Amino acid sequence: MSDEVDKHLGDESTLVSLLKQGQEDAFRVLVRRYETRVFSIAYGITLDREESLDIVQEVFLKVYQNIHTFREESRLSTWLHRITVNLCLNWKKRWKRRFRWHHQPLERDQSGNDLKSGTEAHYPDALYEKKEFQKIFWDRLNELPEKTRAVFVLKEVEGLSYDEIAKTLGVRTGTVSSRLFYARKRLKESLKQYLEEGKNS
Amino acid sequence: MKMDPAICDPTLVNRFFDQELGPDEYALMSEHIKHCPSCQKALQDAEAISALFGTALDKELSRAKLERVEVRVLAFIHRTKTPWWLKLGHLFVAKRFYVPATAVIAGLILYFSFLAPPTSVSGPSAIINSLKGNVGSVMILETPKSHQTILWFSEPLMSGDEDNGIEENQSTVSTYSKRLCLMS
Repeated sequence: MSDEVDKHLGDESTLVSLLKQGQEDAFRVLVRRYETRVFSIAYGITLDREESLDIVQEVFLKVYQNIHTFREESRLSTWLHRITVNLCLNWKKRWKRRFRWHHQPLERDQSGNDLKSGTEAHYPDALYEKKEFQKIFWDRLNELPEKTRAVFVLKEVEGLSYDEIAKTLGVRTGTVSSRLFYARKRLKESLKQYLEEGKNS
Repeated sequence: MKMDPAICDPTLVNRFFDQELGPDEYALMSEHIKHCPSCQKALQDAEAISALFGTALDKELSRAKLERVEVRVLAFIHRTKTPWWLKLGHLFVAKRFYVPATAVIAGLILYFSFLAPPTSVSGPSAIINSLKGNVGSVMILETPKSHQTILWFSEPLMSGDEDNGIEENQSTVSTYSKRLCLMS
């Protein structure tokens, strides 16, 4: 049933209209269409799988409860992005308040390296075969300020333009540009060794 | 924006990578990158970071059990189908209702506060066509908006002893004044 509905709901305004009527199939289509993207954004910001799953669930429940307030001045996806980012940033605040948790610098050896990668490592998939590298990559991303990470994630996951990211986060376009530049610069610096390896291999 | 191709600007490489440059800037930057190893490296690094993030996310997505989310969300929706009284509530919460309503109320308050304060003109206490009895006094009050005629007259106080013929001796019965107010 929902597959049939999905075919007829290519048009976003039709989907929104059915969502406002509270049609269950329309919600099923919405969840299937956006859950991966919402999870990707949530995970990119929180870096916590279970928490991201909870956030994905909360995003769709919020959509269900507040769809009557959606006035279609922006795209549905922009609205979903905004809800997701807000929930993620609030989650971080709650987490910090509750556990007095702060970004901790990673434990590194004296040379500043986390991983002695083998010569057989290929870039990037083969590099990812090493479980340690996955952890290192996410840890490096975690070192970025969360608002910077939100900009980076929206760019990488959704491929949004600077203007769209600015609208979603309620910041200026220049801020988006500088945060994105800063995020890449920090990641390049912290992953320099692996980037070099990748190129050499 | 004027750009010197000889200058390696990492922020411009970043915007070039994100396709945020105008056509002229893009062409200039594209030409510059062809001959600039430093900018080529910056561009390759940006691509590598993007690829690493994509790969990392794919791995994470394959581990996430998103189907659980769909089941939970739909179960919640099924449990809490919006009842009609909440839908009615949404109508009243909607801006299209409370914004005009607030404006109308504010307008009425302003109107009655400053422009036309309501006058407390009391209506006539009685309208009489004919009158028997002793009229004590008459007072006529005139205001720009109303005309009041006030009559005081005297009538015997009914004491309950009328059957005993006391009514014949009205002079011994005390009287009280009653005010009638006529308005024209």
